Amino acid sequence: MKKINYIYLIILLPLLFSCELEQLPSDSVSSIQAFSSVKGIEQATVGQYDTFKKNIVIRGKRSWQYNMPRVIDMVNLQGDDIYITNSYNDLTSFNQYNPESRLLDGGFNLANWAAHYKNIAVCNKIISDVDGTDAELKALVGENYYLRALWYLSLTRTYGRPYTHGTDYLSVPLRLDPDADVQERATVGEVYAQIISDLEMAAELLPEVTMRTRPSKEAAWALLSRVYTWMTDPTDASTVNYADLAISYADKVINSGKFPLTSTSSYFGSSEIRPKNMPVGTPVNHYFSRAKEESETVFALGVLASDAGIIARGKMFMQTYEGLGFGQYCASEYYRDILASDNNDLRTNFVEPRYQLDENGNVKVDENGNDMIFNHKGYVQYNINKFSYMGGDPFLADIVYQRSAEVYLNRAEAYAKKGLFGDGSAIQKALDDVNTIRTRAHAATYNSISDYSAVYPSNPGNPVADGETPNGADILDVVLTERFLELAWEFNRSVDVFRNKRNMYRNYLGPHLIKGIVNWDNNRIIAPIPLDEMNANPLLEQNPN
Amino acid sequence: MKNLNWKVLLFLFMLPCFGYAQQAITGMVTESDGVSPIPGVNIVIKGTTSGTISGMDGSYSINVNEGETLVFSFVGFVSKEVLVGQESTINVSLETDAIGLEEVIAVGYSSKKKTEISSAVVNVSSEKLQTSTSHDVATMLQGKVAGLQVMSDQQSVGGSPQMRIRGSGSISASSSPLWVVDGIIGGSFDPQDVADITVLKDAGATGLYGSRAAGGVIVVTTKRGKAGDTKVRISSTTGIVKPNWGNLEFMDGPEFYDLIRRGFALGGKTESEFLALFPSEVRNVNYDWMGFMYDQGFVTTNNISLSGGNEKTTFYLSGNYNHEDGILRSDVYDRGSATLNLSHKLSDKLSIQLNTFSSFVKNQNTTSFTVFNVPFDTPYDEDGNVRPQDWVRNNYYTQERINFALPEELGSYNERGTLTLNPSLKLDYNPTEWMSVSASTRINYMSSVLERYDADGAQSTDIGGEVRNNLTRNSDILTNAILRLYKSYGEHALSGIIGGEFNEITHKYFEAHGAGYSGESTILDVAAVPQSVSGNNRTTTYNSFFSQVDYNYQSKYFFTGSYRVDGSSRFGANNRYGQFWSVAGSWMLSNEDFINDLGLFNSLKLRSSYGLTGNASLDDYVHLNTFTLDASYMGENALSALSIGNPDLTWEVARTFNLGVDASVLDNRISMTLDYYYSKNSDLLFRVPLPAEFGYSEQWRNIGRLDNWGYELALDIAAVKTPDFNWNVNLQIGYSQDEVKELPGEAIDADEDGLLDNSIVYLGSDLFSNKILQVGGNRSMFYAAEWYGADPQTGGARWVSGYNNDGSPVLTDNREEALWLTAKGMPDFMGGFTNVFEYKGLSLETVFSYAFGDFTIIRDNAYDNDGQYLFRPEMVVYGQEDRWEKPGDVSSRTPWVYQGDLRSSQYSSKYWENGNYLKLASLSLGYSFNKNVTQRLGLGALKVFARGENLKVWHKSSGISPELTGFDADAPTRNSRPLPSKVVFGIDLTL
Repeated sequence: MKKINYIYLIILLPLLFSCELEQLPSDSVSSIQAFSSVKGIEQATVGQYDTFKKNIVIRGKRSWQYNMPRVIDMVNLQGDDIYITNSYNDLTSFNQYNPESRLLDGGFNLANWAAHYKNIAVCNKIISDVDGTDAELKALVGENYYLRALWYLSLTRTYGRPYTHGTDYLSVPLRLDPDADVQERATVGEVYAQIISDLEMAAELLPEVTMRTRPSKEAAWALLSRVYTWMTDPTDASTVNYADLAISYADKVINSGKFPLTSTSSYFGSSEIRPKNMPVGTPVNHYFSRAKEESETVFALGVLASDAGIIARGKMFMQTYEGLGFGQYCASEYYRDILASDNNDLRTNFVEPRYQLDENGNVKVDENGNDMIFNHKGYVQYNINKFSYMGGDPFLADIVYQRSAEVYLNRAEAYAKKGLFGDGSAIQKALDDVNTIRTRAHAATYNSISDYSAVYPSNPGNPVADGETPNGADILDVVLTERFLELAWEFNRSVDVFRNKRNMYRNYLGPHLIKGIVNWDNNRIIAPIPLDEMNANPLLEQNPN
Repeated sequence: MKNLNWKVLLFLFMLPCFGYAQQAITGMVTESDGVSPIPGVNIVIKGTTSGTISGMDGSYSINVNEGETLVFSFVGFVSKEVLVGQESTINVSLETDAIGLEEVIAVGYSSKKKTEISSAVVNVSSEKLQTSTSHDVATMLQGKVAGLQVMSDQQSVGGSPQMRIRGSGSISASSSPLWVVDGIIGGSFDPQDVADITVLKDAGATGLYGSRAAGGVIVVTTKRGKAGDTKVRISSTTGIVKPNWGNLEFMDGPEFYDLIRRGFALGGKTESEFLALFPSEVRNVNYDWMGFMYDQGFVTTNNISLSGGNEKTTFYLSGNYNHEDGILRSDVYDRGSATLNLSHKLSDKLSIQLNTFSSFVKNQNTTSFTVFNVPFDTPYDEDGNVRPQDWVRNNYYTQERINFALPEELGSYNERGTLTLNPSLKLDYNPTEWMSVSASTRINYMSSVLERYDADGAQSTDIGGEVRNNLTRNSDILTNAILRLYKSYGEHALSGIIGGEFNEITHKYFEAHGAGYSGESTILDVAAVPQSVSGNNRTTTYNSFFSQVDYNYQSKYFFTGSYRVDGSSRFGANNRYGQFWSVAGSWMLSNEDFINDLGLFNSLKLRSSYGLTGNASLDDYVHLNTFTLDASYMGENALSALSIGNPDLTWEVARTFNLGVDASVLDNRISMTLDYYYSKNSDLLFRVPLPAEFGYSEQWRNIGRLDNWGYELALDIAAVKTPDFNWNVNLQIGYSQDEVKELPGEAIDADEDGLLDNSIVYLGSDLFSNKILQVGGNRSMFYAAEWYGADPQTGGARWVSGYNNDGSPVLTDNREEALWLTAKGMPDFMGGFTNVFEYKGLSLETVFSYAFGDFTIIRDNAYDNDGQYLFRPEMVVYGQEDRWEKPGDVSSRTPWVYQGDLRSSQYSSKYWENGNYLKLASLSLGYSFNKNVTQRLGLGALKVFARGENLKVWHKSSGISPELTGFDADAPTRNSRPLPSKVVFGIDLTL
């Protein structure tokens, strides 16, 4: 018997160590847990902002090309206000408007697509599952309606043609039901209709503005003013009702009195032109360095000093005098020339040429008497400081999605189009809004369109190729030029040009292949659907090249 | 009659005791040392058929009449006859047969004689392993086991190579073999302490390991002491290590300068524009960055071991020290380890065994680098002062403006210290001769601390120096209990195992990161600007129950069956437990008279097995639908979608058939093992790419079926065997193929695009390469646009969009219109061969390894660029034609044009190259002093040797070596490390 006892003992001893097979991760929660409390819903909602701060993981892979702060600039880089000093295969191919250079399997493009849909999935889940009657839940559902609209607007302008080019063009798959199967691409018209309906819901559910790092009722209105502005076709008078809606939503925002424009000295951090010999990267306390606290801000993605390690987005736009940062996105020669047409325009302070200084702190000049500016591989560095100086950090700033200057200019554009459609009184209203913006920048104001032509004889609102006679200016050109100057590098430029069926002038230094005019009907003004997504969803149809 | 036999056997098996007349003789059968028991010895009364077989502990008991003769026989030992007198105890020791075929092989939960094994297993003794100065045993196995592929690690001195047994039957899941050390899954050991290694290849052998065995099992047995005088062994090697760059070569300064100059002209730039950027004096700077980064290193390994003991207690004690000053600048690796294996018999029935292994590894690697710099840049100025980073940022030509000399000059460091403790305790209890019980507990604890200081911080911010410390703690606790039964009657022997095993593996990690250091102190708490903290914990658990039955008749017919139930936390709630089994049988033909009568074979065995094993190498928690808390907004925690779960997720299932033959002929001068296997792998674990519209871009699923099959031949030939001169040849050939058989959906091409509709295109190891999974294709297939080369007229980048009837290609300048090609990334043949020549005390040994029949992606080809990477060094392309220069030139290489169209560097079939290689893995020359000399010196044995490792790789591809590209041949070789070639001198002596 004793023998047997030993055996049992030895056999049974390890059984005491038998393991629990139900193991849960320690740093994440199940989706059921996530959506079962108000706190979880809140965390999942704001998790969408986190998506745009880091590298996204796609199909188990994390690549430097999936860096979202950089991906944000994919659309920025299509503009004529910028040039890039480095030839990123992927980022630059998108802005080259050249059929040969289209790159289907680029990482930036894939990351852009995946990140937006990652957030849309959260919106869909909350919108479909959360039945909120209390104020907190209502606001969260409203925020998700707003965000879904924001993400779809961003997607459709990247992958679908502008609304004004025709509503039957393909946009992106319009996923609203979290459990839906794979879908075909919806049309541009369908996506815009959904954006409007989402924003109307958001405007109903969201509370009035308290903090500007979260969307508000007014943010939804402001976005509606943008959407209707984008929908108004200057060549089609039947779209006048969109212009009216754009104006009425802009009025709601402006008349709320909560979003006054920041004053000149506060906006620029100074009322003077930045001295040339101030070393590049010397902090300026401008609007963008404090955007989240400024009442001009309608909605901004807030960034904290503790985010420095992950979202130092300014590094791409700025290389300090000491050589910190990359400074690979620069203000284009074209932009600088137009800006320089008005000597007093303070917006020149957002461009910081990386001047070389001598021992006395003066700008060095070369043998021809020209200022010497550092170059990055042959590309002269005209840094942009709109993404800098939060807390004095040359690379940190909130990411401003909406500010009231844009709302003024939306209204101006809508009035301008009404003017084109024959409403004579609208022209003055458009000029008034433009003058509001110009006054702040100490730029010359206009009493008439000819005042504009006097300052900008080349009419950048409707550019032509070198050597050709400039187009005569209309009121829309006035507004578009102002948007160009005021909203430079703020994700607007290429959309503004092409949706208004204007051509883009790209004959300036940079690695882009087509140096000249890009016509608005170019197939390449929109991005290709990422190849990986085409492979994963056979229902997707590729954009024509 | 047959039936009756079975009944009798069963009856006897049930009896608690047997034997009732005659005189009872008991005794022990041991090896010639008089200590080590031999189980399973046939003990027959001469002239009769009655007899018995010795037990696990070598003991036997038989009833016999005085005057009869007992014959003790056991394969591998010389038979012995003993006349029975009046004694009641007869202890017998058997001499090993000179042929020595019958080693006992550890196959995991048990040990078996080679004849008993019905499966494809390969045993490699410690002597055969000693051809490599490596801290890792995998490197030592290279080229020595048919069907085992070992890929050299290239990342660091301390890295471990990857291994694959019989290719791979998985796509997304890892196919690394399961390691079993001294009978227990997992664990650590020092290669110097390995007694032998057994590689289990087929399901017959691996079936007992269930859900983790589909990649094969490698069983390591460490050395232990034998009773007798204490033996002391000292061995030491010292030598140098040099970088071997294979076919990778960069342009020197003038060549590179002239190329760019031409490129500027082609890009429409003027000479003065060029000179403004590249003043003519830089042309001759010509700094050798490869030489700066990699240089000759130094390597030494030292081992001392003591072993011995008495009949009750035996021990093996060993200490090792390895040091390698790696070829990469400031890469230093130190490892010290100690092993104590102790066995003690508490009584005849109870014994205890303690194995402990502990090691400490320190790895320093200050210089981290990403790309090579161009030859115009120098790390030091004319006076030998290091170029400061702010100077570098404005003056370096290399795209990544980094001075790799700076970190060490500024006092940066990157040091990892890893402590491993691996104690195991095993209790054995043998209450009767037919039964034993054992219980083991093993704890493998690893704690690794990384301390890193970057004096220059993030290089693009001004937050000063940065310190990162992280701590990883892994523990792997395993307990098991095994009941072993053993019974024989006459010519029948039956044994069995029943056991349970519980395993918990935890992984804990955290990191703290501070900045603002000025250099006086680099401890975390002086951080002026505290940065992030991060961390995670993971736990994996397994509960397993297993059993095995072995039967043999007349030592001619062998049968094994096993069954295992595995549960694991890695599987979805709906599929948590799985069942695995295998059967195997073999027929020792050479024990049959009709074969013996041929007089041809010394031994001949036919064996076959079939079984079901699993692969559970998927990530933890992927079966769960989760949101990570590793997200924040405005200083508050946020949730970010992480994974879409799959509650049905389960292991892959491999059903493997194996047929093998082992033969030896001509007095065992030639022995051969031939195997054929066919494995059907279903429920493949695959990260199925989901359309990202779902909010998740992938989901782990069990999909489809992949078959792999092949042949393996191992030949041992004693080509020359004379008293003074011997020549032994060992040849290993593994041939393997695989094919995807099923994927979800129908394998039809409805849209006639030349691609089956259910094909899955997915990203390889990184963004660089696409791979495709299609029915009829291979598991590792590259997928890329077909590259043509430069347009003969314009020099522009051209792809092939189709072929004309005459076979000539239709060219396109639009990659989107190109044909997409596939290429196979796994070799057809791989293996190795070893030659050993011995003349008196002198020996010469060569070990080659090879693989051929595959394509490999040579990413170094990105250094053959078209102007896209303007400020990256250019390689001298190995074995390819010159660039296109003028209309009419035919070249696969487009011209280098400044600000050109930048498209030929995009991934395409041009990156694929033939992956065949033959490597001289080891060449050694040794001399063993003869006994007269050693005795005079007071030594047991003395050997001195010189050895070269990784001396040469023959291959046709550009780049360093196709061997370095990893198993799926898509690991990056750009920025890869050169192969370390070593020459060492060593001494090995026994006191």
